[in-house]
Amino acid sequence: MKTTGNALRLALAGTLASAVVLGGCGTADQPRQSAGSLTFMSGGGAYLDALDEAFLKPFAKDTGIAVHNDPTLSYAKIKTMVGAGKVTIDVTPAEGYWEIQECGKTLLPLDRTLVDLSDIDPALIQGECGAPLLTYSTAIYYNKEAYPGPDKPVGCRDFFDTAKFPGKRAVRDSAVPNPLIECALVADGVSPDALYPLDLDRAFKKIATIRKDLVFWASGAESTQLMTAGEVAMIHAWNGRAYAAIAEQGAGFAPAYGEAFLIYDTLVVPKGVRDPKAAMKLVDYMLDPARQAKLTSLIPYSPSNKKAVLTGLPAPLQEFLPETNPKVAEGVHVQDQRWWAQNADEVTRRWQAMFQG
Amino acid sequence: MTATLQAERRPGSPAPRVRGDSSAPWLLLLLPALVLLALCFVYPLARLLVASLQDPVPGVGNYTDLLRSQVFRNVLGRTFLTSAIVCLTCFVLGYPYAYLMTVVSRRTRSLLLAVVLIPFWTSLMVRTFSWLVLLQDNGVINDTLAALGVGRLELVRNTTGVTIGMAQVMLPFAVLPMYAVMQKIDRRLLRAAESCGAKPVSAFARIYFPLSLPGVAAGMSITFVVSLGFFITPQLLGSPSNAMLSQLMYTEITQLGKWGYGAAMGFILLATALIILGLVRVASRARPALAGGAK
Repeated sequence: MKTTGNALRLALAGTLASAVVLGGCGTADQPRQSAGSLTFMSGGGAYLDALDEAFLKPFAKDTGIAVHNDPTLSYAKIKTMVGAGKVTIDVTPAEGYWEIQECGKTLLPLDRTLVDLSDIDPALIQGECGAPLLTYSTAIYYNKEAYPGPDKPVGCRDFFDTAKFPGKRAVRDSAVPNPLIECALVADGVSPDALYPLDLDRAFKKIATIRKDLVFWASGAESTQLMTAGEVAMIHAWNGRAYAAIAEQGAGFAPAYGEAFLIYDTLVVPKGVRDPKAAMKLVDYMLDPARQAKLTSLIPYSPSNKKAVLTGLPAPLQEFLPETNPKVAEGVHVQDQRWWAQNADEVTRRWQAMFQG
Repeated sequence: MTATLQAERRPGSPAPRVRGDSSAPWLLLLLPALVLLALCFVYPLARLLVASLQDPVPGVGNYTDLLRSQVFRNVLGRTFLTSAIVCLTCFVLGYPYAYLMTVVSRRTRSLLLAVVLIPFWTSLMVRTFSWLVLLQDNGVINDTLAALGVGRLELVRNTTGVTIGMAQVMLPFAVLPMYAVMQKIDRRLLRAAESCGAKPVSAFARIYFPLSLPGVAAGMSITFVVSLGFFITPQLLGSPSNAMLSQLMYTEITQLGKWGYGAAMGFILLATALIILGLVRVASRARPALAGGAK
């Protein structure tokens, strides 16, 4: 019987140990917030560093409210937290379409008594739960080696004209919210000011015409890599990434100007945060024009605040931003996130059928 | 019970046979592992199953929708096909490698082991991006091929790229079990076969290879099952037409918030994988060597 006792004791000890380990798992993810601190969730990397420098550290200094960073941004995670009633993050930047989809479900409506949107570009205020923070656009850049002649590609029409400008085109490997759809319609003759609601039949028919010339990038870093290695003739890429490739890494690409589609990251507060007022205060703090201008000097995104004055930016960067280059500004159209929020599913199904099926 | 315990303690007795009631206290030692499994694996899996049957509406709608979807069926088939290709590649590369490890000196063996394990300790993202840089149209490999007059090949953003990237990740999983079995094979059996008149090739094919099959089966099963869940590698080294199921699941769950649909995809993958492994097991029973019966 002694053996039985030993086995039993060992088993109990082991079970206890695994329970302790599990308990550790459960709490490790949820640092207990001290009163008067906030947690900011983002994707990490250079983006987080810039936000930290421009907003989060100064906020802690000015208000005494410490801001913790959680670099594991995932929409699924936020939804799970809200669903489980255990919300451990207070503020996060989200894409416009997602904010509109989740407004009132996962996200708190913006408290307009605490968050002042009066200087924010009205074209960006598309949902009730988000405070637009910054913008970037998807534009066309071409490989200078691919088109050495006097005729250079301009805008969506030439992006879709493989007879006049042959060669591979790189686009983002994601259906939502991919402005390739808008670009296809413009190339097919729709006026950029009369795009919505998007005619998906027409757009996908147009995309099918260049199907075999398309290659795909999955991450911003990969789009930069495609440009620096000169792998494609044209690319539909984010302006910040094109700047990194062309100005910083010497990629032989140039902007094709013409139509570019602007999207924005918007600050949201999930339902069930411990102190919604403090979270809204941080949101409001991040809309300050001077601090937004500071952000642009740290990372190539444009401010959402119309009063932000961009000074002292390096000359090469100025070429890539609509605020500092009228040639870029001329072609920029704001993507309609309300339409994308409603049609994300439908576009995804068609996209999958065309490319993944 | 007491009698059995005494029997177990008798010196020089054959391997103790723990049977019936007497094993009960020792089975308790499984409890910690079972608790861990139940809470960290079974419970979340059950939650996922419930989600697949309840979200957004109760019923089997997610499953019928999926089975009716051409895209899903194609991607599911491709997921298994890609895993099978990777599995086969790992066998072709890994079998001679594992064999080599059993015949070289101890020092060379350590070196061979290190070579196969170093990638194992390197970040998956770093490795995948490195392959992208190496394999791209203007990459080192293609530059070399062009200089040699072979001409440039399309090595990436297609099945070739995905297979290369995945096979490199999976190679240790194939080599190590094969090596573990091979090193235990008594090489005198080969000499015995040759002394009975077998040519070396035939001695290998009829004696050594069948004895190594348990290792092959173990290595191939792990390689195949783990390959089913790849995400980053096919995303970066393939094109959308190489998409595997985990990529569809990512889109459903993180972008579209359709938990039930994504969960149902996971369950169909799990069920299909279990069926395939079950079939392999049945097949291996028919051939005892595969089931470790090489005694």
